[in-house]
Amino acid sequence: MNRSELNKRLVSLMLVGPLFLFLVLFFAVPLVSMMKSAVSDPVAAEVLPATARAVSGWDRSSPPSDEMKAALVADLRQIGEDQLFGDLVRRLNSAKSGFRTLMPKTRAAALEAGGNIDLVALDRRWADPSYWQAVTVATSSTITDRNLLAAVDLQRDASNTIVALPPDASANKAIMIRTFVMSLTVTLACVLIGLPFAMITASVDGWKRQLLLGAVLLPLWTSLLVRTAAWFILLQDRGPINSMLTYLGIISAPLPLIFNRTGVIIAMTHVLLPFMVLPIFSVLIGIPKNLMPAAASLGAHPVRAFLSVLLPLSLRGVVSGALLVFMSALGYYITPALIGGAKDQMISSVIAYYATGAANWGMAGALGLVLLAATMILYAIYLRLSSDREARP
Amino acid sequence: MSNPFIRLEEVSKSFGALTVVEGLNLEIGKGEFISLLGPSGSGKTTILMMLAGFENPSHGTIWAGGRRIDCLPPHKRNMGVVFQNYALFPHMSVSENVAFPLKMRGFSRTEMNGRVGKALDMVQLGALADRRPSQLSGGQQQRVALARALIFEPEVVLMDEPLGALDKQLREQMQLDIRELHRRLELTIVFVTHDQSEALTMSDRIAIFNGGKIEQIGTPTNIYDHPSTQFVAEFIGETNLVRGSVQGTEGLTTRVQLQSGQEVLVELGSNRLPKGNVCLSIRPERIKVGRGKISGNIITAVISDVVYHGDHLRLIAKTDGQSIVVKTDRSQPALSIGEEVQLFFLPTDCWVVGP
Amino acid sequence: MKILNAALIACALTSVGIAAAEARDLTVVSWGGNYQDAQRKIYFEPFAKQLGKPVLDESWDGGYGVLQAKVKAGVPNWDAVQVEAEELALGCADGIYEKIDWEKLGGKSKFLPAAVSDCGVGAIVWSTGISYDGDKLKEAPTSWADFWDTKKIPGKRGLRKGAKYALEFALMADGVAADQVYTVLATPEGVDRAFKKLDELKPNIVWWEAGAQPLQLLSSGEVVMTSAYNGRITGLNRTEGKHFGFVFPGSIYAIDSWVVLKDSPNKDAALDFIAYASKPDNQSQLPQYIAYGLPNIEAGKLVPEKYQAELPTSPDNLKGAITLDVDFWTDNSEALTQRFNAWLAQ
Repeated sequence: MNRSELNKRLVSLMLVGPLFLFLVLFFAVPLVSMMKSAVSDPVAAEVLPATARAVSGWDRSSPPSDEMKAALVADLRQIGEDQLFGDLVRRLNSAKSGFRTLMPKTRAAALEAGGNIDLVALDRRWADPSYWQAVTVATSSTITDRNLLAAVDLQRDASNTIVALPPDASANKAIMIRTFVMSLTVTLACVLIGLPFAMITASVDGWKRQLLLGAVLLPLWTSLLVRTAAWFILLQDRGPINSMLTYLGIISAPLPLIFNRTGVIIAMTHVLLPFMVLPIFSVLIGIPKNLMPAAASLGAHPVRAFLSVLLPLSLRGVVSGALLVFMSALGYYITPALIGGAKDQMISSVIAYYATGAANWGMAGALGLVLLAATMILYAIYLRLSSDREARP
Repeated sequence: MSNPFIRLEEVSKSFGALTVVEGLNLEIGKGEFISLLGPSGSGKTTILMMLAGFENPSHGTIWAGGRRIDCLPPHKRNMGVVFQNYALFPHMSVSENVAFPLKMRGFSRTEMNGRVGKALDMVQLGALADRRPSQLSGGQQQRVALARALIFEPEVVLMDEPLGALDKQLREQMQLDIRELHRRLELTIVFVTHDQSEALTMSDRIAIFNGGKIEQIGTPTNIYDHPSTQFVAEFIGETNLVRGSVQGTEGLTTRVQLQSGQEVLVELGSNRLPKGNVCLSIRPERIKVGRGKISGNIITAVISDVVYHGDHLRLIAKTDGQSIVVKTDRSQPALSIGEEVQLFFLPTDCWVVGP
Repeated sequence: MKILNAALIACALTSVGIAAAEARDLTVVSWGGNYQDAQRKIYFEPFAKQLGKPVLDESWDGGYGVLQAKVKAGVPNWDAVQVEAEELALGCADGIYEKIDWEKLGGKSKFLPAAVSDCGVGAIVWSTGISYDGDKLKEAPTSWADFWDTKKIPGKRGLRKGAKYALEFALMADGVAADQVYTVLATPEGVDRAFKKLDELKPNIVWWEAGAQPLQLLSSGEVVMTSAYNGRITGLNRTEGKHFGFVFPGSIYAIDSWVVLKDSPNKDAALDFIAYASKPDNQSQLPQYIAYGLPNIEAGKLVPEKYQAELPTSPDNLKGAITLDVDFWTDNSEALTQRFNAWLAQ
């Protein structure tokens, strides 16, 4: 490679540099850190090294030995940083409730008095093997599948085999399935409304087209929260919709439109409709204008011409629109939270709870990872199906 | 025409205030190849669209095969249409495209396959049946469009500048192919074009359109040799327009004095010209150049340019401010610019195209 | 994907935080609605005048993870935050708050004992209980049993979305005496019993999250009764002439505290602000806008007689009310919330 060619390459690399950096910083790094937080579990093993050694030989059922207790006290005295201790407590408490109060109490006692402390006298919970089991599991490894298992309602029992969580303890699987079902419903509703809308928009021109496109684009320029709030006002029991229907005498009691699935689907469909209409529209205006006349001249009734020419050709737009809508719907959070009832919450609200409510980033990461994996599988299926169709002679 | 297959009676079409076709009458015979020729905006494509049923006439009626068709929707007219940009269905293979009209007519699968095979063989595309239109060249696409428009044996085939997007060589090949199909299948073809040479080579008759009206209609020879208006004379082929005034008629010949003062004789057959100003059309290839004396009309002129065209020479001669183009073969002795020459042409080779 | 967003925000916060660290004015965060309006009038605006610099105020709806993420990001973009007791305990143990200099506040003895912590200073004593629209309801509810009785008072009910409070109220509705609630809830059977009781009311519950929401739900008639914070109810009655009632027996009171986020760039100003908001003269103005009890003992005495009766700390209102068991919730919040969310989803 000569010098000028090398220079050219360097320049072109520099041009894509910012994009590359952006992708790494805002896509790759967060994604990797999310995956890492889902499986990494280093805090207990790092902070409690002596305890880790002491409990490694323990049979996980007999009463805790004095050696284990002494090691724990020694480790607790070593912890200098409060935030690190906080991480440890949070890790242990998420495995077994009670460590929140137990650990600070024990640490305070350990720092106050020198020498050996009678832990059981300090708190009876230290005689309970289940607390020690939690410590043992937490210190045994720096990576864990606990979060990933919990994300799909599974856990490891005392004998380390994978079992289902008790049905009333977790509903991640149900919520995950609900998320997909709701997203699919919204996608379907968007296709049913968006396809005819895009076709009408593409068939007219001048101010009519501008008006119709504006009707789709305008909501995009309003914040999601505002649009959702508007639907909140419209849909409530004494909102304009119910008031009008009652006034017209169509209904006697208000229709339940809010705090249920119907309201969420209506609002989400409205919010996501532009992502369906625009791809279909752009495909439609790319279709040569003379195909429908051609079909007619070849003897096709307008309905058959539509079914055999226009519809299959607009399908590419429908598919990309459906993908856009479906993927966006999967992550919806504000709309179900404001308009839906308790049974209409989607997986992102659970992820948000773990991230902002419980500060359990591992669990939040694991749920995100499971969602990502499920989405990727669906996407792979889509790619497979669409490439099959393309390859067909 | 005693028994026309297609008849347009007093057909007009306006879009809002704009009148595109005005009071048009046209008859087309069965098996005829007629070209609608004219500049863009002359209304020729609108006529085709009205025949196909994509536009409805504002006034007038259209008949085909004894049926009144101007009220029928396009899919019931049974006319094959070949579009300018082919209008092939991009999501269907070549054979699916060609089978489309048969499918719409409920043919059985076996009959469909047989006919599609034959139609593709007819346009020499049998090997490409499974390709998508996007994988074909322009000429191949046009042939698919042709096969698709012919496969259901329509009574009439309408072609809207079908060769406009092809390069010159391919266009000439396709012109021959279409003519050959027309002869073999005895098709009735209405062919819209703005290319005069295409119209001349292919058609049985040509209708020249200008401003929504037919300016002249006739066989190619008739139109070329005897243009009825200045517009037609200029639009079809190349011509020299020379102005003068009628001096008198003697038998079959009329004396016309040109603006330069020189007199020429014009032989118009049975037509007699009234006195007054006339415009004469003289085709460049009819004029000969000589230094000696030859019979016929003589105009003295000065050579202002000699242009070499490979198979012929083109001389530009000036006489009293007017340019006259002369096409000669290369046996012509060399002429130099500024040389005075005499241009000869027969009285039967000039034609009066208007006042 | 929420986690992605959170990570993105964290990234952005780090960079913006570093750049804006010197430029940002003191930012105080509280619970929004008419409560924060009152705080703005008596604390934020006068303090900004005294400081000679603007004081920014934002609102939040709780969530320990929010605070933790801000501190872990490096330089937090909030300074003084009003937190609930559980967030105070968690954050203090995790070391995400600055230590309080009690000398500046006049010593620990000037405050109610429950309002004193290493990391936070009590801001209000507030109560959660049943509230209803006195103009719309002929017969007022008097207990959680009434709240659960949809035959006696038909209509939807609002409850704060979360295990905390909902489980306590359910047990009281099931006949557990107020002072026995946490004893029962500490047993697995007690938890089952609470969830079973919640099952009964589930179809009729509208869940709310922000403190201003129950007032809107009551005003719009979306619910006939709702759990709500007592101060906001009296505040709304005063400003908008409503006749919302609040049932003190069976209510649960708790203390909210001011904390300063660790490594706040405005740490000193934030501590000064807390001291300002804790002064008897300033704090005693709160009850005229919003009926919350005052942790500064001296301030409590300065409150005019006519407002005293509405405070959760008045002896009459303390009858039949219980205090939130912070230790119980610090230990059990995660497990019970998980179960509560699963229950909600079913």
